[in-house]
Amino acid sequence: MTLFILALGVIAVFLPFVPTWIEIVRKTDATPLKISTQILKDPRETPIAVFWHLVQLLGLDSLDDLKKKATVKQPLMLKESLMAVPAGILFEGIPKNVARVIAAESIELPSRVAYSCKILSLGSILTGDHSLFNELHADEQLTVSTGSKVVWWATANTITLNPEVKTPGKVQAKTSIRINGPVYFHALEAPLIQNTSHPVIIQEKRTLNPTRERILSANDFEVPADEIIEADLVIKGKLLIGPGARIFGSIKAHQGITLGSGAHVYGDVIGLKDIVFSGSNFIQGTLLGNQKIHFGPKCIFGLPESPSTCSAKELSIEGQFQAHGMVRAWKIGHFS
Amino acid sequence: MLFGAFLNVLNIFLYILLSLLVVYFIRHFTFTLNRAFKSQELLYLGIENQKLPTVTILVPAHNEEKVIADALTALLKQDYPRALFKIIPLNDRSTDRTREIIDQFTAQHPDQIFPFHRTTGKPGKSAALKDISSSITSEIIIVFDADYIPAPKLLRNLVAPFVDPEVGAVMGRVVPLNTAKNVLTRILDLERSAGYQVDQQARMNMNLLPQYGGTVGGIRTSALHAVDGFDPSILAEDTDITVKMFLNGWSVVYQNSCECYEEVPENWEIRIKQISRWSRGHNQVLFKQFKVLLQHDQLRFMEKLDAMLLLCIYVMGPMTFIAWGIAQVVYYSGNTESSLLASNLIAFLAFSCLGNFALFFEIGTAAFLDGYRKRIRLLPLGVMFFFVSLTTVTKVLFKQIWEDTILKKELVWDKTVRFRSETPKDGT
Repeated sequence: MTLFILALGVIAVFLPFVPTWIEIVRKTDATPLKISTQILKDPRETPIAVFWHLVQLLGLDSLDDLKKKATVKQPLMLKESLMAVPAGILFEGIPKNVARVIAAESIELPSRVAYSCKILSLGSILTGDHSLFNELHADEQLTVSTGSKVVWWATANTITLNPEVKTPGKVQAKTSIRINGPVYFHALEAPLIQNTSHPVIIQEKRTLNPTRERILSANDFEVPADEIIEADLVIKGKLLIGPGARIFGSIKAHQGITLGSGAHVYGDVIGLKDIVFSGSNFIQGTLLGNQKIHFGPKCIFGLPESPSTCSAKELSIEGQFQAHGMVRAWKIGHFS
Repeated sequence: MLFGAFLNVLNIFLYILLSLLVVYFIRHFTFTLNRAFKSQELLYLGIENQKLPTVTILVPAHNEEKVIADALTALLKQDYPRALFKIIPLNDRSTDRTREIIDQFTAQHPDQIFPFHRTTGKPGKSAALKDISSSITSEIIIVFDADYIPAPKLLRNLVAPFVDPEVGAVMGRVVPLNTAKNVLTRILDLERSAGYQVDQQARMNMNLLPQYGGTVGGIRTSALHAVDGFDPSILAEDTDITVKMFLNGWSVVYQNSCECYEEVPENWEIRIKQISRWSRGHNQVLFKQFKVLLQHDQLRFMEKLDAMLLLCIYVMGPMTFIAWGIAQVVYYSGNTESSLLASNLIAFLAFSCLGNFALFFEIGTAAFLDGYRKRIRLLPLGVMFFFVSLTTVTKVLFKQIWEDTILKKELVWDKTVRFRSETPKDGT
């Protein structure tokens, strides 16, 4: 009996080592962890390869030949789940097995449809109302019509988002993104993002003094109205910047930040709680919020020649707004 | 009567040590829960457009002929404007082909690589960094050990948090490259995974004190000068910088997405030397900064506590041994129940939560988060690993007390031997 218990004890001790020994011998999971290269492919580069693939599949000589071929009034169905569509037609009913739709020139998409495929155009894309798309990529203009949704990615030279559009994915334009009315978004990136008809040309461009001081405060801090400060501010409490103040440095607050009307910051702004821009504010550097950022009317963010990043959990933008670079909301962003 | 009083003192001491281990257990268990169930800190992620700062990359090297070419090649491939960064290989009196290889690279990239060949002064990484750092004028200093291979986007991601004027240093994640080599490298891979994916990231999420690790890390030059730079008398210059930054109102940020490959020791002798150097350096910082940290009035209680627990981590090994000893004395004195309980608790708590050597729950969670779950099967080998680490750090502490306090011996930098290839590579 004692021997039996002893044997059981020995087995119990060595049992966990059995899978260990097997793993040592077989090495099923011995490769180094994969380095995250963090290179997001630009989807506008992908179509070229796909187009060439089409050219080869069709036995053509060049991309021009493909364009000619695609003017046929019938969608070009191919193996490998590719579909080339002719220019200028409104087509309905993309088969489920099609992974990519490629248009040689501009296309219009119908209203009240849902397409899970990737739609690419060498020209422009105009979507119908209240439709759902996974990916839309146009070389020229992309217009997402009222109530439509682009789930994953939208890219083009210029993009227009009409009222009630929702873009939970990334919207990326080479030149500009124009917002017409209330829009929900996740990430917008362009040299110019605006919901006004005429962009403001920023006159006050400043280079920061590299040897500026750093002001540390363990409590709340208030910058009086119209005050000019040439320093970085690191505030453990709340930070209140009075109307018309000018900060030539970066600011960080562990609690909320409120910028009074007309206050400008020529460095970066980092807030661990909510950040409120009352209106007519200008931020030249990066803007990071750990919670919510609210932009009042007529706020300008970044410079056209040095685009910047605005990122927060939630973004709410009211009135006229102009940004240069990336505007990202980790949870949800809203233009009212 | 006297013996009874002595036993009471031992008992009190035993329960103090036990309480400390419980505190460590709670700390690491909280970190694990944080990583398992809470979302990652996103503040500094996704900064895709920013005004990029000027950067100087320092590559300390002493007899690194097997690895230095790989490091320089990877650094030259960085996705960063050429005009904004330069590389300074810090050749500290190498006796192999390191100097020759660096000079070959310099000849090919004269606008990018500016070597610094040290032939005099105190040897060692801290001293070399101290020598060069006073002459650096760029906004940011990045330090890479010579055996590290950074991914092309690493530099850009590593400098991103410096938009925050409070950030003094940024630490990236170290990933072993030679994982498949043998059992030791595989366990070290698990240990690194837990240390970064769980420990460092949880401290970042909880707004505590992530540690600048001396490599795959950046330092704001103005912050470095403000804290009086690297201390050449300290072996763990990274821990020293972390604490000094913290005490002077600068924060340290950990960027889990900034991954960089390194080579881990492939035999136990080298591994033991590595732990010895780390623990000795870490203890130096503990003796130097503990009182200052305790008396600092600007820090939150939790920040102070985390910093103190971080500094004491290598002292907990010897404390565990002492606690076991006391438990034996108490047991043979007749108090069998409490000492048996204490003994078992010490064994369990020490094994489960001693910092760099954290096992089971931290490693398991890290493997889960990384998506490489089959390697968890190697966890039982942690017992062997735990005892090697425990005895090493204990030996180091007593040796350190003897040599530093009594004999006043000068510390010598003990370099980690490289294994990557037998044939040295050159700049071509």
